[in-house]
Amino acid sequence: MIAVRALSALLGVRAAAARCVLRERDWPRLVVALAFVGLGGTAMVAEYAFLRRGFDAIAEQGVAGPPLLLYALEAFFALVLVIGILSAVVTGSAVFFRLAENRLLLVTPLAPGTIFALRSVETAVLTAWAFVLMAAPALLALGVSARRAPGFYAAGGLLLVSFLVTGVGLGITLTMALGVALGRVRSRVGIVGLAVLILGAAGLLLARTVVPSRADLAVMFEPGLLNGTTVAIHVVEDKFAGWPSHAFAAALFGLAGGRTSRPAGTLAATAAWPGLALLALVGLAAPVYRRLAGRAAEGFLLARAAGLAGEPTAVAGRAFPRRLRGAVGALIEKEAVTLLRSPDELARAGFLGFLLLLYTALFLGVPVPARSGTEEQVARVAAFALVAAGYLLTTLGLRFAYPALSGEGQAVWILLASPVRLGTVLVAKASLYSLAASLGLGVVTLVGGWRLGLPGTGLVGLASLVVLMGVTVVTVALALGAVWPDFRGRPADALATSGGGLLTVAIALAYVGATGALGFRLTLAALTGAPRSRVAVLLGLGVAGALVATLGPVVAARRRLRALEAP
Amino acid sequence: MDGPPGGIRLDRVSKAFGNLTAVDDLSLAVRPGEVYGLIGPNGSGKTTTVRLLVGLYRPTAGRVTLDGLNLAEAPAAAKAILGYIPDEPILYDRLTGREFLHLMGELYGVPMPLRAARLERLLARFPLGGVLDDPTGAYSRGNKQKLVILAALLHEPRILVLDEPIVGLDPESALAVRELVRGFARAGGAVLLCTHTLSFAEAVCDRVGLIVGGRLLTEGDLLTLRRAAGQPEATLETLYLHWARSDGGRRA
Repeated sequence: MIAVRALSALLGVRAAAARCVLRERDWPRLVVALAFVGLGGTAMVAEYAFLRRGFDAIAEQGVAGPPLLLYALEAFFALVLVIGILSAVVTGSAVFFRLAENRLLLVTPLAPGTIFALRSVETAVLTAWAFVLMAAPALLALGVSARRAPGFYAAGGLLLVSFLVTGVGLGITLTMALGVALGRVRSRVGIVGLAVLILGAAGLLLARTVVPSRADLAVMFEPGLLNGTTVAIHVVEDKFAGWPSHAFAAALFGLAGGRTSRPAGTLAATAAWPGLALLALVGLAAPVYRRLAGRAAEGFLLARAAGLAGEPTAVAGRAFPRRLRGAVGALIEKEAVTLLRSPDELARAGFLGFLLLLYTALFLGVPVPARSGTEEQVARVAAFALVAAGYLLTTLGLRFAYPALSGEGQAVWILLASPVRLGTVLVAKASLYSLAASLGLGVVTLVGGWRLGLPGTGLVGLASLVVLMGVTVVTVALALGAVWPDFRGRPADALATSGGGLLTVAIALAYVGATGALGFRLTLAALTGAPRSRVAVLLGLGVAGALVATLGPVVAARRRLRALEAP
Repeated sequence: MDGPPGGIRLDRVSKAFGNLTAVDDLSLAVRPGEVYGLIGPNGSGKTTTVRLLVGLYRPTAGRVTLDGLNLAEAPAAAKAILGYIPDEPILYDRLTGREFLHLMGELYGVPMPLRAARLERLLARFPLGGVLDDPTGAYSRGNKQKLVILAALLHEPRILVLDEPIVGLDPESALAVRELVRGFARAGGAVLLCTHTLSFAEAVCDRVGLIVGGRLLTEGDLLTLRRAAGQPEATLETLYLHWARSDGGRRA
């Protein structure tokens, strides 16, 4: 009873903070919050429209329609599950182990079980975006496309809640397992290696499962029957049988009027999975957290460093910067080292890297060969790839480049009191983030362009646009972050979801959209054998667009930096 | 305020934060070879003055000059000859102490071989034990303070600005700071020291200024202050209380 009261009180504190914004009519914060909700809403509407057209097209496929629909649902639910679990791990590792508030809670008489419950609820709320933003529009699109009654939406909603509980439960259990593993790994390199291994394996497994092979497609268009159900349905069911998302996808397929081979078993599994996930939470994750909480409050790595104090280490005596030279080089290395040694930042970068990997794998799995007469379609796919890269770039810019100057926090006195100009500091940060973004996305886009069969001029043009986009979006984000710096040590996520962050998103997305249109024309010109001068003119337009996008933010940042003071 | 161009000069400097004037028309000068102590009650404008001096704040009015260099017109050159020890040693938690010192060396343009030699010498004076290669986030307050002192001296500045330099230090290190400050002045450097530890100020300062409500109430060497207060045997603590409770102190 005491635990329940303590839990409600702690959750009440969070709710009170939100109510405070409403009660005090803090309009700027409300407008920014509403704008971000609007952005999410727009993404959901776009997803609904896309899926609705897709489901309608599948319904017109005759005998292949049901297996195609089941495959689409299975693939979609598997994708949502993996992203949801990873989001729960990234969020959970910060919420369970790294929040400063944990140290305070651990010295109160609160039982570790209560703290675990509180953190589980918070992780579930913060992870729900993956399920709400992605799965809810799919449910709506399916219901409208299949002309289902209102009962479908109620049952489907219940199914999605069970799916969310399953994903979050598995995610938190995995977080605790990783907590145990990280406690045993002896080096940062080992930790990063473990994370890369897990993400890589998940990405490859997902990509191999989600993208239908030629054999899968061939079976789906076969009309054969097996025990009253088409063979194709059996094949799809078997392919996804090992996935926890299978039961939910198959159940939704059934609700939409499809026939699966084991409808009763599917329904039972949709009830069993959330039960199993909750059981894992209570029986496995909670006891592990009880053991780890104290050590985590000390910090896994710091506790080890303290233990080694006084002993010579491998890096003892090594100068800094190690690779680069001069003030700019030192600042770039300082930024990179800080990122690499921050588990929270690494986790977020890893999550975005995983999405990039997934995107690449999916792109590679769906070949669209350039043939005579299909140039326009190929150019459209290339432009889509460019816009997708730009969207990912905007996310990276918002999360890492926008808060980069504010991230100096109260240590900003070091830079302000030094002879180095703040403009130099921004150039160093811009170099690091532009290079990282352009390298990652440049390779992906080049590989995509190669798969599309683009000629050399098209590939070079596309790569140039990606690099230009990387530099531009990072510059816009950094500059606007410098216009509204906040050195009070607020988390990067909170800094990104501010008015300045919103303006960054608006400018970056408008620029990315324009670059996408330019990419379409450029690719088409390259595919149709237009003279190189036309490609050069289009690239020149790209440079002009980049200048237009960055001019305002850079001028505003320069003005702001001239008057910048310590907090 | 006329005198040699070297050292620290504040000419009619004011700093306002909205309606609050933290520093009000303040003028003072610290000559090369001199240690000047700025003392005053909490909220009197000491730290604001220090932050104006090192470029963390920009004056609302007036001029700050360091060794003849106007801080507003030539900030890079002025900051290059300045060593600053802040009241709160907030560092880059994820860098090790050694990395932090080398970073500071790069920012102040100290070449690598020179840096290594100076570090060796400075570490002998302010030893950091076995923690130099640990992340600074794991340092104690005292070790952070020592690291900031090392960083401030690495580029061999001509001017030293210290804000509460001995808070958190063990007695041995506090003594080392005292010797450091005196030695720095003996070598021709100008030192502005801001502190609540009046015994420390009395031991190291050539002149002391009392700041109240953002204005300089009085300044001078110990002898001058004693004479002005009519207390020939008074310690700095007694003099501080005398001036702070005087009409001028209360009005401010």
